[in-house]
Amino acid sequence: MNHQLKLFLLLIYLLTLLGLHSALATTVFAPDTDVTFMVEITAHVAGCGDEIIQVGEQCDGSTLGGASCSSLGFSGGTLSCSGACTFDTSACTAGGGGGGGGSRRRGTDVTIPDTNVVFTGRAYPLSKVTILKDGQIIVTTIAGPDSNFTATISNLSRGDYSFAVYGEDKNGVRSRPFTFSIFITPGVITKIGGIFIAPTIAVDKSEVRRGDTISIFGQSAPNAEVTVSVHSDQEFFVPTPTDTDGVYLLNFDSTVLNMGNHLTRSKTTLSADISPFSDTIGFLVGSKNVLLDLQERLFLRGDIDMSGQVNLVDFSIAAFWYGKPSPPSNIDLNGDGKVGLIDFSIMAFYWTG
Amino acid sequence: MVTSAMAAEIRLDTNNAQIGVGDEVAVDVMVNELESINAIEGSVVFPKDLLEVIEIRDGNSVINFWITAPEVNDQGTITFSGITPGGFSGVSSRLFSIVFLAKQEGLAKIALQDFNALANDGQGTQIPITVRDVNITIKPGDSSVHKEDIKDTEPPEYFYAYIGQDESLFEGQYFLTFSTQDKNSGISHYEVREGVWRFFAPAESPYLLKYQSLDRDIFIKAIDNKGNEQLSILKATNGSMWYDNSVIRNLILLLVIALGLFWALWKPLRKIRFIK
Repeated sequence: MNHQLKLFLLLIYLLTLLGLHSALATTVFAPDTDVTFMVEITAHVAGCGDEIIQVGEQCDGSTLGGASCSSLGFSGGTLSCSGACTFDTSACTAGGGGGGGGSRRRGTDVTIPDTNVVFTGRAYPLSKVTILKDGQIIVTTIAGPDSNFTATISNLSRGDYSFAVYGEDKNGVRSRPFTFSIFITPGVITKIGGIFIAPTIAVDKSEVRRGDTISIFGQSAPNAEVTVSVHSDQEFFVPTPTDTDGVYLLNFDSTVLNMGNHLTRSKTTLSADISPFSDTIGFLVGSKNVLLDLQERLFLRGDIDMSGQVNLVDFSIAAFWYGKPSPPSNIDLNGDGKVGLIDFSIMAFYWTG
Repeated sequence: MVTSAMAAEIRLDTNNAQIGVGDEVAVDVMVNELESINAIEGSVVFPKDLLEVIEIRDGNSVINFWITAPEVNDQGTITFSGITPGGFSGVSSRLFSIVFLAKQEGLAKIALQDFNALANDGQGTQIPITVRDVNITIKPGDSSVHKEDIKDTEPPEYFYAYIGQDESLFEGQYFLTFSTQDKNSGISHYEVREGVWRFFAPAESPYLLKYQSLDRDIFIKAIDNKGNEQLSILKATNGSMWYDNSVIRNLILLLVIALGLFWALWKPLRKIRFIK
């Protein structure tokens, strides 16, 4: 009996070891970073032909950013840059056997380094910065007290990606996203620098009595100058400083505005850097004051499930009703009685991931 | 309303406008637009007596989410619609590629129809469109048949899945949404497994969850057209059951196997001892 019990326990022990090993073997460990190439891209005004790879460009003139035919999956040849600042692979030679795009060589003597994208830029002090990859949140980070942020995305495949970066101020108001598309080269660190996130913007009233003031406020980089634009027939530009928290506040006298609908937006200047414009928001100059509460300011068109985000869940609900009769009114965003492409376009504009 | 001064050009591109019967040819559906487009729909029409669609590749598309993924119908038409949050612009943005097989000799006119592109302006403003079709001449075939194969050893992009709930969908029950891209051959399909004790089954987003108590980990596999897989795991929202764990499952399975072995070996072992 002792022998049988020992044999049984030994069997259990061995099988348990085997089970634990197989369970642990499914755990994925990230490979060591072994980077050999680097591409630096600055998020300034794009200009093809200036020998500098900028957002939206794969290359520029003779600057290929460390890419070559082999790094793009071909077996050899000469890579060049087209007049549209995209890779010209016509002089590359395909890998052995079969047509179509070549494959990356993965021999035991070949190390293919990680493919990383590093984002750096300026948001608002201690604000949350969100980065979307192809429409989905891939990473969030918190900016420093100086409003600078950095974030890295790893292990991407070779191909075209669309990225969007947006900030969220201390009131939870999101900025207009900074969006761009870029071709990612395998084994290369791509640095996207100089991102200057647009300021957030909000107003305290949906309607202001003509002659009263309307508060236009938001957040941007600290100790910067925000230019607030109020426009209807005539556009007014009002420079407004931000404080050490990046907060700006403009009490705008509505006396100069005509009765009716008006729009406002803002942008930030800091040293030589200028941010993109913020969202454009509207208000009415009328005969009474109508205050906006925080929830109304945070309302997002396209947030069908009222989660505070416009994302894949909302898209799925809308897609379910696409082309179907009598959709619920909160899904029919443009109110034309059906869920069509325009509703999806509105949703895509307000998308938060 | 904001109006777009420049028209977007939708065009069909091919590297091989003259092929033989039995050859394969890839036709790309491309967009040129300087202003940002965030939603697009349309159709591609082809002569089905001359051409047969053998594959539609949406890998590396500028479209992030398909409302209707490009799919061929019996009439020889491929229809699609999709969105790109934040929009896309540029001189050569690829929507998808169609791989045709030449069936017989003739002039195959492939045409774009009913295209609609909307600006990323928050209002869905229509962008004027010009289209450029393509003609492919099909000649008698010879022994050297051209194939449009694509190599892909990389898995689809890593992705996250989300649980949603809305009164207008599945009568307010919890559902799962997921989407990802494959930068090479494109996504073939998804498979979902709720908990560790079930098998993966093909699924589409949105997917009605079987276990509405949300107490099981959910495993979602994206599989590309070359069979490469990417796995995403959504942990149980309400804490998983103690037995719904892969280590516990493996131990229980091993214990069952061990007991089975012991039972099977019991008689032979007794005989060995008896002989001794």
